[in-house]
Amino acid sequence: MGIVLDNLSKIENLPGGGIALATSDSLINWARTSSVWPLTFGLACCAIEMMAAYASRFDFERMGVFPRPTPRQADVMFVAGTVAKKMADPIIRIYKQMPEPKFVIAMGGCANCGGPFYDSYSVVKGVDKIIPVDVYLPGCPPRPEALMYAVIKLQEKMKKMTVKGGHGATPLQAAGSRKLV
Amino acid sequence: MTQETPAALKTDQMFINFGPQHPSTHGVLRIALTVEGEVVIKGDPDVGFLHRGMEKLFEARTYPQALVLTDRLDYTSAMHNNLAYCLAVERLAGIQVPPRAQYIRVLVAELNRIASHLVFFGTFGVDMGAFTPFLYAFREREMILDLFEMLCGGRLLYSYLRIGGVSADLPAGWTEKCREFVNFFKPMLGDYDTLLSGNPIFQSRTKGVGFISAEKAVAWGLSGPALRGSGVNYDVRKADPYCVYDKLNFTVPLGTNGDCFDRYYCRMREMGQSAEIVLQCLDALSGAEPTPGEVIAKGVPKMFKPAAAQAYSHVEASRGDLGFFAVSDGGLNPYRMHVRGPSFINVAILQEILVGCKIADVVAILGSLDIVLGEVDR
Amino acid sequence: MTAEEILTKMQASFPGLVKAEVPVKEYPTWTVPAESVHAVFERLRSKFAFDYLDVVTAIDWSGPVDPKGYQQTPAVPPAARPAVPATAKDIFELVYIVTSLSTGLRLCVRCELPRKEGASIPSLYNLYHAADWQEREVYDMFGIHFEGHPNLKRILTQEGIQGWPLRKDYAHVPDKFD
Repeated sequence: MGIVLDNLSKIENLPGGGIALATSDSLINWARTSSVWPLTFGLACCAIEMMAAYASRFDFERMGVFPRPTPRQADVMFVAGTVAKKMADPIIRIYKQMPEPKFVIAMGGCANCGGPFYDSYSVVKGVDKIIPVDVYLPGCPPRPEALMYAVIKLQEKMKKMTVKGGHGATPLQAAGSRKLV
Repeated sequence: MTQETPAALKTDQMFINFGPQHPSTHGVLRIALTVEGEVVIKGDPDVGFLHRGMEKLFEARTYPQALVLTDRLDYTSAMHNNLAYCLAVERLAGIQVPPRAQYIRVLVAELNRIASHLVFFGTFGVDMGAFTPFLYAFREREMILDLFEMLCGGRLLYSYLRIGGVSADLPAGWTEKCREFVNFFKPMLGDYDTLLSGNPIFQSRTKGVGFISAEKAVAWGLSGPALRGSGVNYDVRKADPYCVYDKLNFTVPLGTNGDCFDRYYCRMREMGQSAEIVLQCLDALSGAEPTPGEVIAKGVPKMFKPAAAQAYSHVEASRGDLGFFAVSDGGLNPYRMHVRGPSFINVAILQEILVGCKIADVVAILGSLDIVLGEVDR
Repeated sequence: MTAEEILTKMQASFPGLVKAEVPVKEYPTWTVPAESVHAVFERLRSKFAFDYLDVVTAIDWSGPVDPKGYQQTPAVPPAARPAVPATAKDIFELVYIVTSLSTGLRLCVRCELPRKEGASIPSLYNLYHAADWQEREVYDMFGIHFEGHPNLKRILTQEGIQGWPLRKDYAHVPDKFD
């Protein structure tokens, strides 16, 4: 209940029960932050560390992070690994299939800027060339703890979102800067 | 009412894109499947979704720098990639590796084989609808990663092996921890059999599925457990021994039928053999011989230029025969470096064996080949 | 039977087959003219049980590599590129490594091709299926054609790529992803 109480602006105790008051923003953001469902989507080395994060020692699910195999049920995409140019189009297509609001964590050096393949002829130099990125996570590969930290940072961002306008868009989307190439 | 003819009942062919984003392709493989009802009539693997131009990048790095790229080929068994690369460059430049480093190399390579096969065990279980083995496999795998972290600080990509040896000797207390792990791990293999190998659902999904005959396996150039599952006794560790494998005592598990289960079970038994090799290496390393501290060949400069030559060297990596073909022109950078990735050659057979199987078996066959896309696409 | 004896026996029917001047270290290395590659491997496979094809790859001997790596921009004029050393030859070299699983013998067979557009060599697909994807890779990287290959398409590189990446004169044209 601790999390819920943080999001409540008021609790009215009435005879026979009570009314909890909260702004719709804080209620919706509470729900969003506690069920960040990523897409089961691995590209390269970082995907193995992502799998380790889901597995027994790190147990990502306790943070509400539960992998979904289909983009239509996913909130966040972990771009875990090198984005080859041949993979750029499928990634854009997967991103477009995800429902709003959607987030992207660029995991590892390759997804940030090309990493050790910065001078390769067939690597996209950072996934932000093709889709907007919310959190950049450095490392080659980042440890599972680092991935958890990235999710915590994303949750902090989610908590600042407003539903004004009724579409739950992130501030960036509202400003129209989330145009795809 | 018209009479229904068999032609009217005929199902249309359907085209299915399996991947590149699919949880069972273990990465970004795409298979273009043409199916008629439940039966696959054409399966065409399409690779390159993780093509990083590695062979071109080798030409733009110095020899020690290129080592870092080799980690990222088959990222679940990075030690084997380091090893194959170092052996090729050492053969090219004629460097002798101290005996202690050779034992350490074999030790870490076999530990990495266990870790890599554990990833296979976990993910193959998930592919076949059993999630629990995944959690067990990763519990043990994390213990191996802890050992590697003590050695070199890396969890996944190590660059621990260097040209001429290894980067540092085993730290204090490492051998005890390693022995503790192996003693913990060996009985676990029995647990895995109870969890997955003996499961009737698992067996019915893998036995008699994805049959590869020995002749076909050799013709397609399969290697590793995919080849040995068909009963072909070819293991580079025995056929062309490198490091100290000729001094170690181990057997090569073989399958008989060449189906998915045999390939799976070869890997499971290989883990037991790897554990035995690890123990033998630990015994060999515990005495005063080979001399502690002597783990890297003397006189290998940081900027070294091997004389113009060509060398090929291969190792038995977790997925098969991993080879590096190195060409030097006497300069700082390799003139040409070719990687024979076992996954790349293993995955080519899919176009033949997928034909005629049920669509649900595609996942089983693909999983049993145990490919890593980093090595397929390079 | 050692590799030397096999070579002597083979040389009776293939006079072009000779020991290579620069061998691959610790491998018996032969060179063979391009037109008899297929026949040599057919003989090796049927008579001497070389049933396992390890490697098919190629080398572009037109060197050199820029020490800083390959050229990033096509804007570098030919005059500004490093001088071609004396070792450079205008040839492609195909490298095959075969193993006999029964006798344990290993061989490296090399073959030189003139370095030009549309250079071609017979495919080994009907002898070794393992050549299927490896030859496609060589085609993708060097632009060497394999006659008789059933499905010679580019395999690894992205759609619309210009040029052959592993050729020494490949100049990468930056696109929207760079």
